Amino acid sequence: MTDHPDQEQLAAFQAGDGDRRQRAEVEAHLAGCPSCAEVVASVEGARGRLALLEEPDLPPGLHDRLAAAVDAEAARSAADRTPSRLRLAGRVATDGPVGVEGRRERAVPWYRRPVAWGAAAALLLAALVAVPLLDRSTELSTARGGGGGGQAAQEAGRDTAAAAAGSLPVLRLPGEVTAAAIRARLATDSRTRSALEGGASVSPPESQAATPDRPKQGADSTSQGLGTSAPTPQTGPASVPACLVAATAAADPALRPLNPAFFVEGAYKGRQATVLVTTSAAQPGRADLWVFPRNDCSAAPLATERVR
Amino acid sequence: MSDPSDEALLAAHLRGDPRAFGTLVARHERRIYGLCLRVLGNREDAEDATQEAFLAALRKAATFRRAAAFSTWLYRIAVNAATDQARRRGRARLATLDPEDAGVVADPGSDLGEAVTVAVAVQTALTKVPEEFRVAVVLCDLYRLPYADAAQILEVPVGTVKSRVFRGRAALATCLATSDDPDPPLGVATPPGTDPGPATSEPTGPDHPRKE
Repeated sequence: MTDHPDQEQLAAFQAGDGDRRQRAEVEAHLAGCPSCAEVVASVEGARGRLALLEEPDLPPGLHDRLAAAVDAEAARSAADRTPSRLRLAGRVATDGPVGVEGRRERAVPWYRRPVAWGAAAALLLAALVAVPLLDRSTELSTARGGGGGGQAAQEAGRDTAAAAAGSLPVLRLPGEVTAAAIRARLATDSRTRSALEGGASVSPPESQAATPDRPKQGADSTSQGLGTSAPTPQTGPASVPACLVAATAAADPALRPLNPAFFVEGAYKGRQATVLVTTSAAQPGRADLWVFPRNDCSAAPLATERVR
Repeated sequence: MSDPSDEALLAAHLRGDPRAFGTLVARHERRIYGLCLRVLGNREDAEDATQEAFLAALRKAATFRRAAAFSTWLYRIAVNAATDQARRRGRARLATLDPEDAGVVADPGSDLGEAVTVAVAVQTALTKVPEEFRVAVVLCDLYRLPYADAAQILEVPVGTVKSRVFRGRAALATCLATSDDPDPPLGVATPPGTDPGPATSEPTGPDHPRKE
């Protein structure tokens, strides 16, 4: 071999490829070509250095964190699917309200159901975040499905059922949804502002809530206050728990727990979007927006932005 | 059935067994975390990517097909999670590995402190290797996966994996050789007479004519 072997040939040689003749050719070249031999030696040396790295131990706490995240994700799936099934049942039984159809109305695959219910049970056992989530699920299914929500209320905890009449307000913004647009609306619209600052008013009673440090202000500025203006009650299949869990998963841990304040419907980069605006129990005054495809919080947010 | 296969556990999960997926997580978490740590070079990002990988696996569980092994499928998801995490974070936080996380094999009789230092240097150099090559090196040289398995994980031909591993090692050698330099270039030792690939910014191979 008078030609230097190219990188692919050397890679194949080092990988042990080639028949005896091909390997002999490369070996003969290396024997007579110090520069190529040096390349192969240095690459081989790097391989040896890599052997110094062994598999690291799992950091303390990561196992529990993964278990909790998996439980929350399974619960999110359950919360996502449960209301629509109840809603369907409710509609059959009571000929309930129309106009709540959505993509998630499709039949739930049979194999999902036990998972979903098992996860719902896990959610009941889970601590801080989970309780308000299921409470909100109750609120939504009640608001959407007429009588259908009662079953979820029983699952979630009977004593929240009475409080479970509301849902998150929805703000409709003309044009692009941006943090700046929301800030502008906050500056000019007291109802939107009170929805953000009085986030506690759309949540279950404080006795239920796992976020006692959340300022309970604006008790009068209920979701109704906002709902009487442009915003209308949330009826789409993008449920509060699903969106909140997805946002929480994507959030900087320093912001957690997040409290949902209101939804925004509008366009994000030309795409129909459902945007959840949250406040942070850990950082009072902080607000963030989380962009999801319209009525779909099943995956991580498309984008996030700090509102203030 | 004392020790069900990964595939059996996933099937049980899909049938509704509430503990099956947790068992899969427990079984693979250390490997997936290690993979993410080697690719990302710092613990915080590696933990986030590990979580994202398992959540993605949970979401995609119903799409698993037995054409591939579960571990191959999971590694592919983990590689994607790690590279997504790297993109989210940019390069700013690469190579901030705590020595404690480096993980070392100390030669018997060698000084452990020195072994840790070397391991950290190797990990630091690894994070400077172009990502495409780094992932291939991690899979093949650290995880000792056969080239064919790595090719399935990366969804590229086997020859491409071999080439990436070779280039990754060469880049690592260059980074280690210049590790005294506080910001070593990403030069890749390129054998003479070959065109440097797109990511091999500065061929440092010996300079001599292609034909003698």
